[in-house]
Amino acid sequence: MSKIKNLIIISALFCLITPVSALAYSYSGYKWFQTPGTIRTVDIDPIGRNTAEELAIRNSMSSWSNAGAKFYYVDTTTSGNDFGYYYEVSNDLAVNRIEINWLGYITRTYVKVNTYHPWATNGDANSYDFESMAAHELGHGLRLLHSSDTAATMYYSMSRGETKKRTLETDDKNGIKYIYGSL
Amino acid sequence: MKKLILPMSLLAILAIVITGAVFFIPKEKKVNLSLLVVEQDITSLTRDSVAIAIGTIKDIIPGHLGMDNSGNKIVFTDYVLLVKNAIKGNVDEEVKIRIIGGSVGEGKNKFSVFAEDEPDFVKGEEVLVFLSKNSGGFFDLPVDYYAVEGRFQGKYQIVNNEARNPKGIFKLDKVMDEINLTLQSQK
Repeated sequence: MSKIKNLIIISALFCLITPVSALAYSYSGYKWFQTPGTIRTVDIDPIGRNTAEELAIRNSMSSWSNAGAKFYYVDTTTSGNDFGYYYEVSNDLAVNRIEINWLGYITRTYVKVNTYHPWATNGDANSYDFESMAAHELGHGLRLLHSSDTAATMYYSMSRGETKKRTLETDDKNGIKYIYGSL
Repeated sequence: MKKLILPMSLLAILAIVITGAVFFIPKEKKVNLSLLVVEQDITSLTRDSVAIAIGTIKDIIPGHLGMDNSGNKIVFTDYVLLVKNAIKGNVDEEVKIRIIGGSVGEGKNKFSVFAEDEPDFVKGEEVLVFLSKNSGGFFDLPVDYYAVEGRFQGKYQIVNNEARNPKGIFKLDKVMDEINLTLQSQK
């Protein structure tokens, strides 16, 4: 009997000291309105400067739509949730702006991309990857904040030639599932 | 008739609650901004900033409403830095730093902006700050104002000869050596 007791104590101690996967994603507390139990869809106008950039935005929308959460991005042309461009000599690559109503629900999201920096859709080592940027910014569109996981799409910075943000990491998927629920 | 009293009463209460919610709950509107930035170390912060200073936050000028370059409402908060040591650039004894974020108005007219990547300053704190004349495309920075280079990356709180920011805690001497080395290499 005492052996069983010891076994239970050792098992309990083992569970206590075994590391659990830490949360790295960060959530702002705001979301698109979602009727409980339903799948939320949000329209995005994938406006790029050329068809390659528009394809990159659509790929990023698909990445989030296929993350296993009750959330889909929908391809439209008139939602006002779109991508725009600006030029300034600064180390900002892109910015996402979210508008939130008095009930705490998101009403609009849009992205502005700084064209001071070189952008490419083919993984060029000397340019910033447009699809990686789009995936990051569309994550903000769900209202995920920056992740402390350096491998995550939602990590705050990006280097030239880096394309890993195109693919959502487990941390990113956990974030969207936390906000909108798992499928 | 008696049968209608209860449902009618419930409807009246519901109407009062809804009316109260519509008219009296603060209708605060919020904007959240998040950036994707270039990773910057001390070398690139030193190279890309127009000025570098160590000093103390003397004053905070609370949120005030402005417009960004796209015509959208935005809120700024300004900080006054009392400069103790100007490391790069010709800075005055007092430097004004403009940061996106803050709140204006009260109750249903309240409007708040939160910018995820902007640095926070606290009155009285000693800081090492890399200053910029770029506003990230959001607004035209007035001539006598600075922004922070690299957003939160360009602000270090100084405590006990350590330079601290969200990226880590560093020996201030080491940080200063790196800054000086970069400045010398730029000459």
